[in-house]
Amino acid sequence: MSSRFENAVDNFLAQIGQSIFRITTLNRIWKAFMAFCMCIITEAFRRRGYTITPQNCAGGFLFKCFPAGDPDNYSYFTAEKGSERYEIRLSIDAQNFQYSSLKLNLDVAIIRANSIGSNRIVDSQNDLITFAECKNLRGFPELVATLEGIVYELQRARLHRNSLANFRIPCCLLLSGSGRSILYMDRRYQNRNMSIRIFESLQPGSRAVISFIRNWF
Amino acid sequence: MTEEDFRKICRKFADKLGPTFIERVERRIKEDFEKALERSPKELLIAIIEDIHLRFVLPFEMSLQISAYLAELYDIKDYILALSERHYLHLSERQEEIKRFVDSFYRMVKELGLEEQFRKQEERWWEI
Repeated sequence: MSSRFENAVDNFLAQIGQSIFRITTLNRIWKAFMAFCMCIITEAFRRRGYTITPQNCAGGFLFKCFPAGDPDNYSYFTAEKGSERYEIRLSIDAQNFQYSSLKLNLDVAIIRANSIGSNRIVDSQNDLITFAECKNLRGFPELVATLEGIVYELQRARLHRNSLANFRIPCCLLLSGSGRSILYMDRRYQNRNMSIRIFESLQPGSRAVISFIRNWF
Repeated sequence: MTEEDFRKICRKFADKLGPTFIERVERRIKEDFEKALERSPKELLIAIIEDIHLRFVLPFEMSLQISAYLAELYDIKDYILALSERHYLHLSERQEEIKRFVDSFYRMVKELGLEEQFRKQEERWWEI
């Protein structure tokens, strides 16, 4: 006869492979983290007095969790306060035209309203307000190197000391897992007053999410 | 639970989730699965459950919170994850199923005596 713990394990495992818990879906469900990050970012704007309006969502909110495709075929939020009018979007291509940089796809991008060009690219020098890279992982050093590489290509002045003076909203690396091995870099960014942050353990219902919403900018 | 119990449970996960999953766990613990199973089956089980929690369970928990957030603040009842131009995952209509899956994970964790490591967190961050 099976023990209680075996029954509990069997009950859980029995669901894997069935319905939406097929392995093909399980291997891609991590992309829900991008959608989750979009929501907590939107909430951070709402808490700061921005008026949030969902757009393109007549048939439900369609999260764009892959790089290709026309951004205007998917849902997004607008955030407005005074003269500031931004769009909060997922999987947007950005490029710094002044430096002829690499064209990079950003997980979450906050851009000036109506700034996506006919080529579906945002000019990061002029129209990218901030962005977030979302990793449903534990943090490791290569993720920081990647983030700094993206920053270098798109908004390299963020890498300077005191860049917060020019970039009010830090771009960030958002992790669902622990960032223990890389959080010293976040402290370094803060000590240098740089407009870059790392947030860890962003799990549904956790205090870390509330802390992000309160302290991001 | 005895060490042998932990070994038995580790084997159940390995049999169900296959070699790709085991390779990922080996990368996480930086040790061969069989050696870890022999040396410290409880540590191995925790590593297995950590991986399942982060990769499979948390994203579904996120989907439950996304659903509540969109419905309560913006009166949006349906949402879809577009994984590619042709592959859409309709999650809002599967909330009950997802909830059962998530609950069964936390029940399992409790029965295994690991609830301290994997405590369900339920703050509604859009209300605080």
